[in-house]
Amino acid sequence: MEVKPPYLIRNILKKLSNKDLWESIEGDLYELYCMDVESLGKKKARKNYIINALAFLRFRRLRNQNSKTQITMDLFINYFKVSWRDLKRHKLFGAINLIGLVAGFTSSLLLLQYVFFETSFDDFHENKENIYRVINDRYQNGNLVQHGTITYPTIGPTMTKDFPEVESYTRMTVGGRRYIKRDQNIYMLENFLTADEHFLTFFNFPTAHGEAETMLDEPGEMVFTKSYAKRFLKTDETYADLVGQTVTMSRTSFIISGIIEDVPDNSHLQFDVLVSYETMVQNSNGHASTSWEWSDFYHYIKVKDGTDPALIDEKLVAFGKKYFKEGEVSGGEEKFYLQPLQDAHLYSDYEYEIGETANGEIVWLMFGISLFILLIAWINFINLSTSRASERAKEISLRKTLGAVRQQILIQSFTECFLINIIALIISFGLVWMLQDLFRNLTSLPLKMSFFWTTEIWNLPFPIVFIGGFLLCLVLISFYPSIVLGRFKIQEVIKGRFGVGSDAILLRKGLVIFQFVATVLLVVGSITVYQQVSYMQNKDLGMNMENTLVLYGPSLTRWDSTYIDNFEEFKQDALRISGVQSVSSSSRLFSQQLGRIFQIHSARNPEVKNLTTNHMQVDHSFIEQFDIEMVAGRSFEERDHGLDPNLINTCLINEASLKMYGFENALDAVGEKLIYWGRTWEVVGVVKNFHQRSLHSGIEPILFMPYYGTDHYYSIKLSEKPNPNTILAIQESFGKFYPGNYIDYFYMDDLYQNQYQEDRRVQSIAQLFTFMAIIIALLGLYGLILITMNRKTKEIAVRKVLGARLVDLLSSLGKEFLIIIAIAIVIGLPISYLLLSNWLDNYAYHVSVEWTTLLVAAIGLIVISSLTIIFQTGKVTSNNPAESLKYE
Amino acid sequence: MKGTHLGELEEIALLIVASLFDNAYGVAIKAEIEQQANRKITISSVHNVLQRLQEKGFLESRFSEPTKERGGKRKLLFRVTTEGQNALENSKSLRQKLWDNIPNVAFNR
Repeated sequence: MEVKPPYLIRNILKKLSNKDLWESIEGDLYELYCMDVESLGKKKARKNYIINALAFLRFRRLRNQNSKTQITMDLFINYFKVSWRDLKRHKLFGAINLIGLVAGFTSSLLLLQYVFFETSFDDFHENKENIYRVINDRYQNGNLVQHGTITYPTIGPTMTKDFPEVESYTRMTVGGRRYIKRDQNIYMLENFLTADEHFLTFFNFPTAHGEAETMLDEPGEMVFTKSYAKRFLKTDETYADLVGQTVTMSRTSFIISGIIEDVPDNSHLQFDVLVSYETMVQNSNGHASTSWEWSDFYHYIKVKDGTDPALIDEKLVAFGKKYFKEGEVSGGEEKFYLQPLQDAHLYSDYEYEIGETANGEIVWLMFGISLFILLIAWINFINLSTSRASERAKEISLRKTLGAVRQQILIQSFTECFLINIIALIISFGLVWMLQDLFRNLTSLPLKMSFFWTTEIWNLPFPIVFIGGFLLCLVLISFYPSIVLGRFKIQEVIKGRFGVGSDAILLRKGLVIFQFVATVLLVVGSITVYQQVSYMQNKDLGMNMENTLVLYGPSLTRWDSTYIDNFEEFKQDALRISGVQSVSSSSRLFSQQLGRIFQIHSARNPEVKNLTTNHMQVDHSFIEQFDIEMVAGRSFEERDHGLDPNLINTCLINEASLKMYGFENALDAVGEKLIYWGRTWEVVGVVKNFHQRSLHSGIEPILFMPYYGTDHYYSIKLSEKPNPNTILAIQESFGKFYPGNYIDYFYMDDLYQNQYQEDRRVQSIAQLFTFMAIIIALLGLYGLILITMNRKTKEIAVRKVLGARLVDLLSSLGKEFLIIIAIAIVIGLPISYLLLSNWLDNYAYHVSVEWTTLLVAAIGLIVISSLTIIFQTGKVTSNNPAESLKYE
Repeated sequence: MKGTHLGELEEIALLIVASLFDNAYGVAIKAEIEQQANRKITISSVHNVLQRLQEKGFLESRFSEPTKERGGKRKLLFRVTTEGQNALENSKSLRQKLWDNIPNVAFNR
């Protein structure tokens, strides 16, 4: 039998081992290998061979001592040894260098995670480059009234029919909160999509049980994600058993037609359940399939490979004109565009967004900052390393005298650089791992360390890009110190004369100024972000939602003639609970996007037919409960309500609507008639403007109508912070009046503050970075002081001998550094003012960059820099002058 | 010139080379050490000790004819030199002398 030992390891050994002994070594290894194959089997024998072979490398006399490899290896070992000893000897210096690098690496890595997550949205869909979402802008009288992602159910099918480039489409609409009943158990459903039969084959949401093609093709079908289905599982039931079971939602029965895997975190479409689109078509007598007026639908289209989306955008101009006839069909002029699927999360400023969006600019800004911090950390590293060049100069000169060539000095410098950077990198990964939970809370994003190995950049796995980039950077950053070190004139150094050139000092000063400019920017930035966020959280909103508990309405109770009386009775019952101040009901709440009416006009201006307003349905207690001020007329009263929705004809408007309808002021509007929904309504009052939505956006026209509804929210105002007894009593009362409903509640404040989640995220990240940047900038300053002091040791000693006082020395030395800081501040403040003012313009309501903020940032930086300067110069100047002079 | 002191492993190796006489090469020496001294030793350590002994002049080596079981490689055969023999004898007589110096009462047993 032919036996072959591991080829690779044999060749490596052949290269490295003593030429004279190689034949006997190879022979012996082979013989042992043959014996092992027979007694232990091939696998074990190979392992033994490798161990045996590698063991030969332990012995110097068995290695090839003349080969270049051997010499290089010896040198490398020596370099590591020397670097390690050097680090151990200069513990403070090593620590400072490490802290700088670790701070830089850690913040970059943390941020990279965030960037990776945000930029990975919808990456998992095959064919993602060819998928687009159809976007719809709506114009009336030349004004843009809606810039949305929702459009009419006919758009997808018609585009696919009309445009040969469009291969397929899928359409869907989002559903709010619902309750699913199986047997006698009720389960809450937060997120669902009503999606057509193409949905599961169009996107990549893998199925677990059932056929993707047919899961959603019939009315009354429902698809669960695994984690949602899990709640329904009875003991001994598997996911597969659920398929084919019947459940009811909103009193309609559904068949669970399939189970799919959970939706990934990085999908902009998030849902627990899919309901078949046909259900909606059936319930709407076909309108959900053929309407050109009902705009609640999201469309995604897939184009043929290589199609230019601009071409379709062009065709969509004619498309809008052809089907909507300049506003005759839907009340507005309709324009359609394509939005690439992968822009849906990061580059979407549309209304009625289907998923949560993030600001792509901020994500890339963060990425820029993370690279920037890395750069600064490395600049410091270079500064600190070269600042110690004089100490290393003797060693290098000795090496040179012994015949070291420039290349070897370079390699040594690289090895040192590599050693400390690797240590820093390992510590940083450890820190990232430790800080993971904290950072996840800070950003409230599902960040994972695994992003580091699952992300791909330019089609290469991130670890490869990272290691490659890291090594490249190390080569670059070890280049400069090695040039400085390689340039010494040996005789000079050995004679004891050595200094760093003044050009190097100038370069370093420049770098430090640059760092401090960046720090000024970050400090002013994080103060301003903080001010803006707290301004948004504390501004008077024109309404008061403090201590308001919100119950989900009794959506399982049928609307009938007793509904209004029943609600009023519940109201009275709840008011008897101590601590309850008032109760009201409304279709929407603050912070929620309102529905719109697109064809409304005032009787006074009959020629302007198409106006658009948001609308909200409220009961007669709502306006008063939330302290919304009336500026004219009256608020709703009980007599405005009624059981027949077609007989209700009073409404309120907000101040922001006045101009649009042509009313001169609030008083002028009271008693006027508005025409919409084919009826005439009377404006009975005008409410003062309040912030229904966040301060990101301005105040839009709102129309209020006195309606009740089973799916309305029940808001309960409490006199103080809610306590468990009150909540329990409220729940009991609700349960008494609305038996069989799922009882759940939340706080109005929380819902409203959710709008500022991304702002708070930016705030926390900005603070973290500012902290890191200050540390790194101070290290940079420290490095600069170190090197200047090195040059001036003798000068200081001579001055001291001649009788200079400590204070004189400090002020003459410190001045130089303070000038640097001052220059940085002078450059940094105007830049930060401009950049931040620009950023604040993104908010409809915002603070301005205060001069006090600028002053605080400037003074703060000067103080901490001065401390650093005093600390370090103090140390040098307190040295005994004899120490520094004795070598002359 | 290196010292002529014999380490423990060196002495064992030298003795085993002598005992194996015409077949003293790496694998055989390794097997013999493991069997006689009842200890594990890697082939690389065997090579290392043999080289050390050769540097000290206690061993000499030559190549055998190529053998089939070694994949056509020649064995490096070792043989004890006169210096080696002297060193072994010195070591043995030193030990003998030391043994003889032990008074009978020294050991309890």
